[in-house]
Order: sequence, then structure tokens, then C-alpha cells
Amino acid sequence: MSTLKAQLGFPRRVIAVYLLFSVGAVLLLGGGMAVAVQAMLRSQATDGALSQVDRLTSAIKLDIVSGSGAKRQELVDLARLEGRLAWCAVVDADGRFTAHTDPQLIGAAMIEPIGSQLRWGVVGGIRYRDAKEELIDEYRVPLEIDQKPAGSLVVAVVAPGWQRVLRELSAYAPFAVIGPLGVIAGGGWWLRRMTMPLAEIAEELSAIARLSIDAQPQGERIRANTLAAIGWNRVVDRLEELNESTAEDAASRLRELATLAGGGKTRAALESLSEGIAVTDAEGRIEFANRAVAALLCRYDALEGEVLDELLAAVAPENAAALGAGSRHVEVVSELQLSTPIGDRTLRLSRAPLASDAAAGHVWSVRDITQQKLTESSRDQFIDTATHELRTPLANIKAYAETLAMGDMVDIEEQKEFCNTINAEATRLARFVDDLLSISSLEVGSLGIKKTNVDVRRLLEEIAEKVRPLMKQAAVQFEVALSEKLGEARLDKDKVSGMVVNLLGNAAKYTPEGGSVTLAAVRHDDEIKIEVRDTGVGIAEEELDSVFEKFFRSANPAVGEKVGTGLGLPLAREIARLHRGDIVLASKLGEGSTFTAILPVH
Amino acid sequence: MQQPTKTVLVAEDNAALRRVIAFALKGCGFETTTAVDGLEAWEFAEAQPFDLVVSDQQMPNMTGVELIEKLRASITNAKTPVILLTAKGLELELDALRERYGVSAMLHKPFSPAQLGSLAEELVGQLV
Repeated sequence: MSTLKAQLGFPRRVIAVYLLFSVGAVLLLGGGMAVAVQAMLRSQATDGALSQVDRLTSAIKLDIVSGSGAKRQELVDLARLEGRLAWCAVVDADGRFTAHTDPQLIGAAMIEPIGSQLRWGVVGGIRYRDAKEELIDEYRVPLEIDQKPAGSLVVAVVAPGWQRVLRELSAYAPFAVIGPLGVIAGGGWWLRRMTMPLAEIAEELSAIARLSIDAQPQGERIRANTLAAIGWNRVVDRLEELNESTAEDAASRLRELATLAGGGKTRAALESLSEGIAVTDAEGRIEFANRAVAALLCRYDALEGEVLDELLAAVAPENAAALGAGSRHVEVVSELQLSTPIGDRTLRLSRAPLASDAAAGHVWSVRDITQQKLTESSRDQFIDTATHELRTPLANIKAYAETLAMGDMVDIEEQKEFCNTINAEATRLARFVDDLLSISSLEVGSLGIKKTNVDVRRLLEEIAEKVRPLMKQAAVQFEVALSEKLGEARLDKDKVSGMVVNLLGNAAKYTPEGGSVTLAAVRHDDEIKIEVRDTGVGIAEEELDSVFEKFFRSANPAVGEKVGTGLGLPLAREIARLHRGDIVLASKLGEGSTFTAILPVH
Repeated sequence: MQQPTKTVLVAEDNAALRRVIAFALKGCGFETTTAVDGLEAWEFAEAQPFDLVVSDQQMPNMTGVELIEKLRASITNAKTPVILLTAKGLELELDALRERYGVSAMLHKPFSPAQLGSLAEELVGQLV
């Protein structure tokens, strides 16, 4: 069945059905026509016969009355011709033919045939088949003369049979057959013409239906001879246009869609992130990128449609390769070094597939971890420093304590010296721990200040006295030059004292033996400038900004050998800033440094 | 029979520690030469052979490992046993150092001077 259906295409089936109905209609029509023709012929025959009856009856009556009977035979012969009768006869009262169109039967007795009764007005008759198998309608009209029966007139007509009907019809056959056939054929052709495009469209649609679900539907143009075909061709053209349109167009449409669909809050939320978020398609083209991505990559134009890998390769050629080599089906994280107009930066990039496979594209996140990296390296450096700074005094304390405990070979002078060393090392440890505590309180912001009215000159003189032993130990010359007019200022005495001691301590620490350290202070209007000047190792120009950073330790080996947490200077500056002042630094490597704390008096 | 006094070169930048190391080694009968950093130690070692070198790792100018590299390349102290003192035990693996530079022993700060002394005696004794 199905194969038959497949062979009989859509238009053929329609035409076959059309022909079937047409043939049915023609047959019915032909049959009806035959019946009508037969009925017509029959009534024609009967009418022909009976139209003769009245006249013939009168003429025969007249003949009988006249008694001659000579014209009787002539009359029936004439009637047969005029009425197209099978035969015609006159029968006398005794049932014998007195006249007959068949002269052999004159005088013969009339035979009553067997058949069905007919009636036409007052005239009765019989229908029967004669010896020649022809259907004969025989009508008998009684003849009466002076109210007395004087025999009857018999007229017989041949009822038209099927052969006759066909014979009659065959005359019209060329018209009756060829005409309808021509019309049917014409109808078929027209039907075919109308259904062919529909069939082709149906075929194309079936082909599209058989395509896999994600394939792009495509169609063939067909002959444009109907409106349906023209319409279909337009659909095909449009489809082709759609398929041919470039990926960029598709991307832009997608973007429009994304803007429409994800517009509003979601997009605004993504745009507001400081972390860069980008979505790329399977080819790595950016479908969406928030502002942070552009900013992090130092691009200030739209990134959509560009290939992110290429962008990365352009900004950081060495590092991008690592990410490119990673599997596209799992999350890949890499770090990227790039130099930008605002300095070298480190970016952390992660790329994860959107769905289980990479075909759906990827979501990227980009974060600037420059600061994090710096902090990490400072922290590592601090841990380094702290380990060293803790272990060195500990090593000394342990070594000296153990040596003392052994007792032998240590004379009294050495015992005293060792104890002093242990004390000094313990102090060093304590100072380091103090620094750590200060910085941790600075870290949590608990470094509050309590301002009181302070005589600045007296405070600085106290500080100078406090650090004098330190200067002596470091074998540096210590000079104090304080202005007479320093007056009072509202300061946190302990904090400022700590700050200045720290600066002086640094000066002593980094000034070689024989150098000099100067503490000077002057007042300019509402500001007090406290200056700590040394002739020490100095600070390289590139490190001038860094010395105030937490955990920073100079690369200068002359600094490296000294104890330091990298916390003192950040702490000192924080104290100055808490007083709404600041610390500024001027230094030259190898010649010395000058730290100036500027504090407002109120 | 009186053996000749064994010589030890001590390289340590921390003065107090240098002092106590020298004291401990002297107590064990060694003759000690002290240097304030790797560079100074190298100057001594280049000039004369020592029976033992005790060196701090973290020193200015020349680190302990740098010093050992130079010693191994020298004529005077190519085979001298070395005790490395370090505050960074985690970073320097003794096995690797032994393999590469022939570091004989490593002591982590804080260490015991008595232990250093016995270690020194052991190392020098092995050579004799």
C-alpha cells in the first residue's frame, strides 16, 4: 500500500480519482441518454402508428359501407408507409384478414399472439416478440358500422430495441464521445497544472521534514506557473538569504536577542561587576562582554564579535598560548601578564564551557589580581623576614643559654657578656613582636588617637634622650636642632613619640659607623615639621614610594642585613595621617635620607 | 701523641651567634677563624685550607651555598666538610645539597652549640 502511495504521487492520485469520477459520470450520462433515446423512439413509433388510426378507421369504414372493399388493401399499404408501421391489416368480424400489408396473409385467420397487454386510450393492444425476435406493439382498433361490430383495424409497430437505440445513438457518437473525453482530458491537464506545484512543494516539505532537527531547512525553487509556486519560491529565497547571512549577522541578531531577553536588570547587574564576564560562541567570538572585560584588556570599543583568544594573544602573546592549549571541555584557569599604559598587570582568566560540551560556547571571567599578587609577594617576603627575624634572636638565646648552662669553661666576664647578649636578643624579639602587634592593630583600624595639648619641644627633647643610647651603640653622631618657637600642638603624645622614635631608629640602623643623624623641628604657621636626617645608605629612587608599603624590604643588601619587619614606616605614616598630616621622604642612594613628618597643630 | 690542632672557618653575619659558635668550637679544641659574611670567609678559605667550615646560609654579599660552590671549585678546600646553618629549613633540602655541593650536615636555627661541637668533632674525626 505504502509503496503504491509512494509511486502514485500526489497529482497522479488526484488525477486518477478525477478520471474515476469522470468515467462514472460519463457512463451514467450515456446510460441516461440511451434510456431517453429509447423512450423517445418508442413514443415516436407509437405516435406514428396511432396518428394513422383515426383517418384510416374512417376510410376503411367508408370502404366497408360502400361495400366495394377494393380500396382497403391500398389504404393499409399507404398507412404502413406513412406511419412507419411494421405491418397493418384489417380483420373482419370473423377474424380473418381482409386486407394486410403482407398480401400472403389476406384471407388467413388472425393468430392471437402471446404477450403483454397494452392500452392507449380506448385502443387495446399486445406486445410480443415475432418470429424475427422483434418486439412488436400490436394495437387493435374496433371498427363499428351502425352500432354493429364490423371487425377491427390492426396496426403493429416495431418497438425500438437496444440495437436500434445504439444505432440511433451511433450517429451522435463522434460528438457524444469525443466531446466529453476532450473535456475530461482538458480537466485532467488543468488539474495537473494546478496540482503539480503543490506536489513539488509537498515533496520539498517532506524532504525538510526528513532533515535532522538542528539542520538548516533549505528548499529548491520550482517552476513559477502558479501563485502557490511563486509564494513557495519567495519562501525559498528568504530561507537562502537566512542561511547565507554571515555569522556576524547571526551574532548581531543573537546579541540583539540577548539584549532584549537579558536586558534590564540582569545585564545591568553583569555590567556593574568589577570582574570581567564574557560569553563566547563555539568559534570563540564574543557574544557578550561586560564593561570590566574591555577595561581590563584596555579596550575602549565594543568587543562583541571579536575572537577573545586573539584579543588575549594580542595583549599578552606569551601567556595566552597556555590557555589556548587547554581543553575546551573543562574549566581552564590561567594567569596573564600584560603591560598596559598604567603599568604591568596580572590577570586571572578562567574559561568554562557553557554546557557539557564546548559547542555551546564558553563563559569567561577575568579578574585583575595585580594587587593580590603584590600582597602575596609582600606577604611571602614578610614571612621570610619574620622567620629570619624570629629565628636569629631565638638561635642566639638558645645558644647562649645552653652554653651558660653547661657551666664549664665560661668565666665570670663571659657569663656577664652572655647574659647581656641574651637580654639584647630578647629585647630584639620583643621589639619585633611589638611591631607585629602595632601593625595588626593598624590593620584592623583600632589604631585610634587620643589628642592632648603637647609641648612639642619638650616631647622631642624626651625622645632625643630616649634614643641617645641607640645612637651611641650604632656609633653615629646624633644632633638635635629644635626651634625655640615650636609651641603647643594637639597630638597623641605616645603615637607621635613612637613615630619619631621609629624614624630615628631607622636612621641609626641604616647609617654606618661614623655617620650622623639629625633631629630637627620647625613651626610654619599651623604646621610643625619634624625632620629626621641621616647620612646613611639612602633609598634608591625606584624604591621611594615603596618604603611606606607594608612588608616592603629594600633590595639593597645593606638594608637586608638589618632587622626589620617592613612595618615601621607604614606604621609611622599611618600615625601622621591619623593627625591629618603626612610623612614625606627625600633620599639619595649612598648619601642619606630625610624623612619629614608634617603635623598640623590643631 | 698530640695531634695538630684542627682548624675551623666560621662564617656568620650575626655577631652574637658568631661569638657563641666560636666559643663552642674552641671549647671542643678547635682553632677557629671567623668571618662576618660569605665573601670574607671565601677570602680566608682561598688563602688556606681548613679542616671544617661552619657557615650560615643567609648572609649578605655571599650566601652559604654560594660560598660552598666556591669552596668546591677551589684547590685549598675542595673536600672540606661543611656544616650549613640555616633559618630556612623548609627551603633547602639536605639531600639535594649533599648531592650537589657535598654539604656534610645542616643545622636549623635555633640549634644547640653542644650538638654543633659534637657534629664538628665527628666530621673532622672521620677525615683523620
